[in-house]
Amino acid sequence: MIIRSTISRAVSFALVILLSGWGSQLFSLADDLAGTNRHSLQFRIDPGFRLDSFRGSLLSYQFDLTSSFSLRLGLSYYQDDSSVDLVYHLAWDPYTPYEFTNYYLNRSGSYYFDVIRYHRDERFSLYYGIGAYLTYAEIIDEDSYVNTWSQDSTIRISSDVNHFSGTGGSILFGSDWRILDWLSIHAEYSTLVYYRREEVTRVNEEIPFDGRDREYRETKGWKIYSQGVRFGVSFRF
Amino acid sequence: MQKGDQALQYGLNYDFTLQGFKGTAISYQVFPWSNWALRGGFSLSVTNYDIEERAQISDGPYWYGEGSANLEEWYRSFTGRVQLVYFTQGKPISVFLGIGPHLEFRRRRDDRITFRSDGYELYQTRTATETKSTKIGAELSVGIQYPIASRFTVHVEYGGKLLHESSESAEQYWHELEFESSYLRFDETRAWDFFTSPVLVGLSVYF
Repeated sequence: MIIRSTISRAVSFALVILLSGWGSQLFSLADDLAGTNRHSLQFRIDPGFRLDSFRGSLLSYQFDLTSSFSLRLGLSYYQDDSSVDLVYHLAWDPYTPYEFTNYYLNRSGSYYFDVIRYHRDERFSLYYGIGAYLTYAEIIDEDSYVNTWSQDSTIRISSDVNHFSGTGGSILFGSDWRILDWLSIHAEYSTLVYYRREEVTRVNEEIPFDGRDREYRETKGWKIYSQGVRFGVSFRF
Repeated sequence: MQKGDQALQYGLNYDFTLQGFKGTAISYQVFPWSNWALRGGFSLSVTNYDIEERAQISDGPYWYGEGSANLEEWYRSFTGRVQLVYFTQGKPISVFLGIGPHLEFRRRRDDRITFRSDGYELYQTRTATETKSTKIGAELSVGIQYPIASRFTVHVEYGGKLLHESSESAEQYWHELEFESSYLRFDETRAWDFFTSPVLVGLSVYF
């Protein structure tokens, strides 16, 4: 039932696209880009003309489907994963160690996928588009400390876990100046709309004294904000 | 500057990189008539969060406390400006004069309901704050425009704004057991302000 409903929605969506002006142009592309550079890597131009990531820190790539339509993909990913195991022996009693372990994980990723419509006029064009946005982040920081030095041996455990996810879309308007066949600069306004969910859990425990703190926080909600202008350069190939 | 010309507008930084001009969502100009343009832009920020918090604390086997809180946080901000602008036909530099309405609206609300238990008593508190500010008025701009290429013009302008500002803020604290510490505070401010904007340097890209 769910599959049938999904297929029905997909067919309806495809029909809307086909019947709209966008759809007819999409399928009349033929060879209007034959022999041109259809791929591009994009970079943001920061103050001082320093280049930075445009739509993703891992990759910002654009493909011209036709002379009027392009697809853009932005990917970001970061991971820092480490663990520490420390055993500390007292010089006068090597059989009674302190042990400390730490595990730390910080990873995040985001994904942008934009469909862009160009109104081209020789080397200048106005463009607008819509996009999908997905992001995820996770931070885990866990410590444990064991002291077996005396009969009053203690274990202290603390953990801090943070999960974040967001999903939404963006609307953008921009202008593009193709300076050379392989080089263009562009500046675009964009507004992002997304739903986010974040969970933070902190636990501190001490055994055998029964000391225990536990905190949990969950944030859910949505956000709309205009991101200002992203000024960028595309190297086409 | 012919009838039907349209442009996206950007702010030009000191090092010629671009930023938002009359708004961070879009800044646009259109010429409905020769030498007469309408230009405007807006910025938008909306946030709506529901937050749930739980905490448990124990200090040995003899004391135990717990609490929970539900928070509602939301924020709305909108800034919109529209101007009717007249351009002289001077070449290569034309002078322009623009006037139009300016609206800023901000509203923020935080509402926190907290339940606490320390093993002996269970009680509830509530802290709510709400602020609302509106600025409405007119903006005047005078500047010059220079066409640097067939599709690009650079413009430099002075500007001034006359705005009426009204802001209200309310704060409520309520403690279920300690009534004497509960309160409600309300502030209201109204003012007229005239101030000049920093000189704006912009780039219009016509299409």
